[in-house]
Amino acid sequence: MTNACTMGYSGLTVPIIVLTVFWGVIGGVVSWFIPKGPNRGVMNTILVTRAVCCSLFWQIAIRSQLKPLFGPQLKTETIWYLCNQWP
Amino acid sequence: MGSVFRSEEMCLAQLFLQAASAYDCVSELGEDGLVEFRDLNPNVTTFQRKFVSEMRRCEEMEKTLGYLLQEIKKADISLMDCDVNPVAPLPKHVLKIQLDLSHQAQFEEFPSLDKEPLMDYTNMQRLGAKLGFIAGIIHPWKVGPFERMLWRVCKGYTILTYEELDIPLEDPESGEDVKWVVFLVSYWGEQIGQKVKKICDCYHCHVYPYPNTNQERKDIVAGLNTRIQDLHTVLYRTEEYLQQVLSKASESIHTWLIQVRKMKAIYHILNLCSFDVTNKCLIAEVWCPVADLPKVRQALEEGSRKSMATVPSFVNRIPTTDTPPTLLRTNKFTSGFQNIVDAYGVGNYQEVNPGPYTIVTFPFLFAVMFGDFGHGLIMSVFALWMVLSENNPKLKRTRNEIWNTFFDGRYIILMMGLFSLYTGLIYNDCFSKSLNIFGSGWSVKSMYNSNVWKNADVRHNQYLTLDPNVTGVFRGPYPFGIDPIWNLATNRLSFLNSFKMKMSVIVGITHMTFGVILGVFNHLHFKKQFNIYLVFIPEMLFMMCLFGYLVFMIIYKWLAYSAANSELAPSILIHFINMFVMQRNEDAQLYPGQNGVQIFLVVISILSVPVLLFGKPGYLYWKHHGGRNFGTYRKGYTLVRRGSEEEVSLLRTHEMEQGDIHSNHTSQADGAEQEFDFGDIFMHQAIHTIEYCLGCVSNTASYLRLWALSLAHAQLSEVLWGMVLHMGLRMDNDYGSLLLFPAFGFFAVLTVAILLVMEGLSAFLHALRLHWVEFQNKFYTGTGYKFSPFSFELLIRHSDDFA
Repeated sequence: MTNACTMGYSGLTVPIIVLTVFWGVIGGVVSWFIPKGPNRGVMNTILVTRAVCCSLFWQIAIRSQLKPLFGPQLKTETIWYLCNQWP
Repeated sequence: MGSVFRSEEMCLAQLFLQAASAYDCVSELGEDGLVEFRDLNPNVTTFQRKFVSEMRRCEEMEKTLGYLLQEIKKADISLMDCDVNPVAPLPKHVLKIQLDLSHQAQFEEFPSLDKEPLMDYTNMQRLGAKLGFIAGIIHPWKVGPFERMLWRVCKGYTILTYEELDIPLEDPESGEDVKWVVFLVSYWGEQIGQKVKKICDCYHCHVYPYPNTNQERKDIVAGLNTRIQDLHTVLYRTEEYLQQVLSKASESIHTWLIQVRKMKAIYHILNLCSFDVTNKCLIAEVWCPVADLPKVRQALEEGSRKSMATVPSFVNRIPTTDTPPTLLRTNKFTSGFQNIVDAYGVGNYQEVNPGPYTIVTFPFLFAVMFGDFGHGLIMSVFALWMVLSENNPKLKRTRNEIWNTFFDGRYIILMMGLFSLYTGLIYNDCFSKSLNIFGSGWSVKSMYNSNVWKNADVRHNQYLTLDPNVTGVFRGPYPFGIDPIWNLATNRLSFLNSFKMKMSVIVGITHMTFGVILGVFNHLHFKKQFNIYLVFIPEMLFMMCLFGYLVFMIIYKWLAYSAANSELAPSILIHFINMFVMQRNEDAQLYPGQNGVQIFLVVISILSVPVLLFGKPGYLYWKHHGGRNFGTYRKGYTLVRRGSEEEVSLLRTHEMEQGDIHSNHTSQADGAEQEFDFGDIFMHQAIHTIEYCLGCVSNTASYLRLWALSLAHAQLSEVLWGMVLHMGLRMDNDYGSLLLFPAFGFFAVLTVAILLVMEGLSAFLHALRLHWVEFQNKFYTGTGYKFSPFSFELLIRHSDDFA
């Protein structure tokens, strides 16, 4: 169990950091740079909502795959192909 | 907060317009489009209003202009597209325009002369002195029946000869070009002559005198020929003149049309005003946004200046208890999304507006159901084209209803397409194929390396399953989205279904919680803090204890269980059901102490239901019948007694803003007891409680449509690939490459028709339903009415749509 844990997390830290920073930038920092027009409120709302939605969606996708309970079932032809082509 | 989150503050104002400058002031207000006029003469019929004669005059002018426009269109003269915005003319200019118009109309009457036909004569043998002739022309369709009738009536004593004319001539009744048939009837005897004449009358023939001698005939023909020449010249000249007149008119007809419409609108508004006692001043009541009051003053000053009135018109704000209309200022981007919200119901005055959040959540929910990178790309490109060419006038003014609908929603479609690109990347689905950008996290080689599989296994079985327990097989999750190996797997749907169902539930519960939280802003704004404790907190507790816990269980199961202990992983649904029934889970617990925690959560959520049910009515009852707030209430009471009319109205306005839709607060001017209908409030709260609690369960299940539709979309695109394009690519005979072209064409047409249009509309509809029902019924009432200002721009745009 611990093996799977560490293996799972090692491949996880980099994407998590990258994407959290990305959405944080979009949601938080860019909001400061929106010019002070009449649309400032709308633009900020759009940015923050979009950051929340998109990051939530990505997080769900990655957390559901962290620890798979079963593996993919492949046709044997596919297995031959993948064995030779994929690292 | 800005004005887009909540509707603007409105005030009722009275305009005092000087009689002489009323027209100009209203014209100025119309140009700016700031205010909405109220009807001060609701009991007066249309015919009794003051400015009826002016309105009639305007309507006559409109009719003449319409007729002119028709004639111009018939003559195929091109109209100039005009964006000119002429100001409404003064009444004295109107007379001039009227004269011009009547001139034009007169010349229209000229060219409707009908032409005299050519008369052809046939060589007929004369057989006797009593022979009579009748010559004429008849419509070609009637020749057969005419002949038969003649035969039956005259029993063969007539001879009919006829011939078709060479050139078609215009039928004066129907206006079409018809090839007339010239006939000559020769008969013996007077009586037969009478019968033949009657028959000719029946069939609407044009009868012409037929001379008896050849010489006379020749003379008549020569005379007619010259006459025809003259008529041709006259007609030609008249048509030339008509063209000239119409071309001149076509230059200014648009301007005239707009001017007449503006005038009519101004008189309509003036009809809504009432005269004051001295009969010198028009009084109008308008709804006006508070921020625009200085602009209204400016417009009135401008109007007074233009009409050179001595006494200026002014505006005065008055207090009111009526509910003002809702105004939300939108630009071309936000107006589409605001229309989506308003289609469900225009928000109450100063209620929280779900519009700005809809700009993102609506395309997002659409994209969750539509998620395909390739289809999203096509949709975005299409929308981008519409957006970039939005200033093209031809696109703006087509009559095609369906195109107009798509074009008006171009920003919505663009957002939907962009979000679909994103969700397509996460679902890793591009025309039903996956993209392997980062390298898959599953390794087949490791199964060989660990000697789990040998070549013999592969040869003897058709399917083999990768086991994540074996070292090296699963190397970590795919960093962005679903791993591409699942696209090649046969048990793909088992994994994807579980993922998408849980995703739908999580997204749904988040969306609904957001809706409940938005309700807090309403409570804060309308200064009903008690609502926060008695309504919002029980609602949140109920939702979070049950469904928030469900989300927690989902996430916990993702993180805590892996392939090593996958046999022990419990089914979340069964645990959830057991929680409600308060059954102990004998076999597996998700985490230690689960039973205790679950019982605790269920108890809390059950307790929050009576708080939700009785809290608010009880509190209002207690407050009304004396309580801690009795002192301030008393003070308010005495203020009503002592204060002036203005203070009473102001107090009433304040209370109206506070009062909710359930309670009947009927306060009278002399400060009588306020009625408090406990039964009504309690009934309303009971309905709200039941709706909320049952709704929580059913709405959560309703969000599963996110899963269902995305599954349908993925399956459809897989079918299209497998049955159409794959077949085309697989053909390995000589002409296989040629057959690929129609196969691809078929694939493209079906993709656009079924997957983009049909699935797109379906996902749009379901996203709309999720917003309207599941999201908005947590906080939005939507029973207001929209602010429709008196604006020439809107008027002209609407009338252009009908023109």
